[in-house]
Amino acid sequence: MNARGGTDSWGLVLTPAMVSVLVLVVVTLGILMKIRGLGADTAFELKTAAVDGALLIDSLYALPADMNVRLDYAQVRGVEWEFSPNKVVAFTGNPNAGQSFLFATDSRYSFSGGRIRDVWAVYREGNEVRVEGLRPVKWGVPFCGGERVSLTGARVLGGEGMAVFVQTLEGVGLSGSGSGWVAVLPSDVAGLVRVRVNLDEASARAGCRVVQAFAKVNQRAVMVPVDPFFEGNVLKSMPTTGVALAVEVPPGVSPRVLGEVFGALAEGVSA
Amino acid sequence: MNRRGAWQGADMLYFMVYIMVTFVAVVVLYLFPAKILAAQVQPIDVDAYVLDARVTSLLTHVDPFVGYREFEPSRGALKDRLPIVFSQKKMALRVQRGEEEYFGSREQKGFFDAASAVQSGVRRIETVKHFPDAEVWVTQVYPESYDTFG
Repeated sequence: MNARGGTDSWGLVLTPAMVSVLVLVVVTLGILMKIRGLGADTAFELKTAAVDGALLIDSLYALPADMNVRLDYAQVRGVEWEFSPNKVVAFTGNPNAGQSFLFATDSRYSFSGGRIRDVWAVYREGNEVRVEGLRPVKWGVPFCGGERVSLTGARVLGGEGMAVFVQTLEGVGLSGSGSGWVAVLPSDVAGLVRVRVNLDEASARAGCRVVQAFAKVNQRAVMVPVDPFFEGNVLKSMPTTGVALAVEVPPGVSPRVLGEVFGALAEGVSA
Repeated sequence: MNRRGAWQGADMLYFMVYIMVTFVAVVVLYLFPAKILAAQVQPIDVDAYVLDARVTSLLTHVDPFVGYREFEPSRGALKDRLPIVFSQKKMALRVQRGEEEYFGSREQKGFFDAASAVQSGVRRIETVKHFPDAEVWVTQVYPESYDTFG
C-alpha cells in the first residue's frame, strides 16, 4: 500500500465516521434540549391547566340543583387565572399570551369570577356560581328554580306583637298596592325562621327566594307548606290563589333583618 | 471520473446526506413532541361525559320542599328544562324525546346538521336514557380536535 493509497483508506473510514459522530452529537444535544424544554413548556402546561379548570367548572353544573358545592383547585401553582362567563384563561404575566378553554354555563345561575393567582375554589350556593379564593361555603342557601316572583306591593298582615315588623316590610315596598299576600307571625322555634307557603308553584318560588335571602344574611330558614285545616286564624285566612306566604319569626330576629331580606328581594325583582 | 474525483464525490455525498438527515432530525425533534403533546389535550370524551351528566341532571325533577329527585323528563318542554348556555364552544347538542327535539349550541340546528354532515374530522357521541316515563336520546357532535374545526 503506498502513501496515497493509505490516505485514501483513512479518508474512506474517517470522513463518514466524523460526520456520524457530528450527527450523533447534534441529535443527542437536540434531544436533551427538547427534554429539558418540555419540563418547562409553559404553553403546554397552561393549556392543560385551562382545560382542567374549565372542565371542573363545567362538571359543577352537572350536580343536582339542590346541592351547594365547593370544589377546590390547587393542582397548578405559579399560574394566574382569569374567569369570565364561559371561559377560563390560564397565564403567567401577560393574559393575552395565556391559554384558554370554554365551558357552558346555565342561565338559572349567575356567574362571577375575575382574576385569581394560584389557589382557587368554585362555589355553587343557591343560584350563584362564583370562583374565588378559599372560604367556607354557605350550606343553607337553597336553589330556586323558575322565574322570580315579585312581592313588591304585597298586602302585609301581622300577628300579635308584630306591628314593628309590618312597618318594616311596608318601608321596603310591601305596601299593599300590588298583588300578593305576606303575613309576619311570631314563632317559638328558637333560631329558625319558617316560611309558610301555599302549595301552588308561584308561592313556592317566592318562598324559596325568601329562604334564600335569609340564608345569605346567615339566618337559618326553612320552607314549610301550609295546611289550612290545622293552622291558626291568620294562616286560615291565607288566600288560596296568587302568591301567598307567611314568615314565622323566632325571638332574636330583628325587624332590620326582615327588612334586609325583603329589601334585597324587592331590589332583585326590580333590577 | 478519476479515483480522486470519486472520493471527493463520495465525501460530498456523505456530507449532504448526513447534514440533511441531521437537519430533518432536529426539526422533527423540535416540532413533533409539542404537536403530539398538544394533541393529547383534547378532552372531548370528558367534555361529552360532563355534558351528558348535565342533561340527565336537568331532566330530573327536584321537589322545591324536600329536594327529592324524581326522574320525570316528561315534565315541561325540553327547551325549558335545558338552560345550558354554550357561547362559542365548538360543539353541538341534540336532545330528542319522542317527536320533540332540542338543539343546544350557539348555531342551534344549522350547526348540528352541518357538523353531522362532515364525515371526517367529526366525532358523534350518542347516548340513550331510559326514564320510567320516557326515552331520551342525546347526541353530541364534536370536532376531532378543538384546534382544527368550527
